[in-house]
Amino acid sequence: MMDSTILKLHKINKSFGDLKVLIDIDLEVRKGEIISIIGPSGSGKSTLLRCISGLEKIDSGNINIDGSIGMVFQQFNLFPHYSVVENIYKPLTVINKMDRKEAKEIALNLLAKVKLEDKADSYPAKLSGGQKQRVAIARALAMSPKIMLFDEPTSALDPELTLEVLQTIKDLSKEDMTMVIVTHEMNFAREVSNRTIFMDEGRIVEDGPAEEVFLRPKNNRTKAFLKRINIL
Amino acid sequence: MKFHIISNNLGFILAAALTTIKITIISFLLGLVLAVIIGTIRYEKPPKFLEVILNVYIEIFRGTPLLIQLFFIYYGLPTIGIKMSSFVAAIFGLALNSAAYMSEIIRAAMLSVDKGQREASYVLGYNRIQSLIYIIYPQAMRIAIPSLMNSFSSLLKESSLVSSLAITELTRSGQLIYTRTYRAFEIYLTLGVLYFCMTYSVSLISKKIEKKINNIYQN
Repeated sequence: MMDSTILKLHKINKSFGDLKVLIDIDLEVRKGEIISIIGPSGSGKSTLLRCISGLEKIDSGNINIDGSIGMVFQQFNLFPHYSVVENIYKPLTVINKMDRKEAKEIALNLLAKVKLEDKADSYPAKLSGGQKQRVAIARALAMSPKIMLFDEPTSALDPELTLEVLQTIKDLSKEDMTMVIVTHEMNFAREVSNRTIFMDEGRIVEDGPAEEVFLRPKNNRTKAFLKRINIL
Repeated sequence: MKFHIISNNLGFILAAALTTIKITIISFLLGLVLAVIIGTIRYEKPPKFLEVILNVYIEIFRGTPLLIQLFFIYYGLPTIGIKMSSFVAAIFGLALNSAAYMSEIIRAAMLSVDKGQREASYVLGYNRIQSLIYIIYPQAMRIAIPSLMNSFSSLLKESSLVSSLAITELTRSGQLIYTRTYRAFEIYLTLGVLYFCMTYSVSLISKKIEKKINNIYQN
């Protein structure tokens, strides 16, 4: 691995039954990179993230990760039996055996960062979708991951709530956090990421600087996809 | 009406009621521990042979009368060298029987917890056991509590069957008084009222607990 490489995938293959979902995926992610992964539904984007995070076992290939991973899900997956602040600090006390007071302080700081300090003692059931997702982001950040994976973080949100989540992710991007974002928000992807990957039918079809991929895609399938969704 | 029979034997009846409560609570707790273990193993998709063994256990205890199970444990098992007091046999029988039902309640409750909960905990770094203890059980218990309280009430009523192992719990205390007095009406009415008071208290407590737990979630 190169010094600045945080994540390296080599020839990843994954099938669900007879369906090949990922085919010979090679990918290297360097520190500070913000990568957006775009592509049609069923192209393997989410499965790729799930393989990186270990939620899906790969059939073959290697994944090398330097440090821990944080993941944000489409469905938030907050723990409903914990208050907002507990959602963020309990994992620290359970996994890192951190002192409760210290962990809570970290949690409150992160809540301030996602601008939800006033919701610390609320339960997830009382939050809007956008607020839930911001708590989920804070919860992932609490474990000090080296890389953050976002799996369609705004797909389950009403349009008027996506903005606050995208803003939170944008704020993170200014802090040198390495991120891989699977998204259908093309304008956001183009704006926030410095590298864009286009996937189709389980393969990485195009991989380049965001502006290049969005404005001057080289591959015909990328062009067709961007045309279909009215970007080109 | 000769209710003085009841008042004359009140101490005896209440002591027997206490035995009923004791038997019910001990076998419920034992059954619950077993049920959590069995329910969890089945939730975790165990190796085939274990799955089969647990299935057989559940089907047998749900498919045969409790009375037969009690007789088999107390009168039958000594034949193969397993002897125990009638009290232990009663606890054992009731616990195994209720665990067969409750393990299914626990498993169903665990399955009803969204699988994203487990995934989120894994990505955060929880191992399987930590994820069960801190994430899955608390949420599953909330769902399971009403059914488990129901099981407790059933167990309380079914414990009357252990009277046939010559344990002087509530039902047998009535039978004993009956053989001396032949006042079936007064005696069995009293027993019925006592059983009802006990199960009704359980359902009141159950509602309180449910309300408390639901309040937490909706804060």
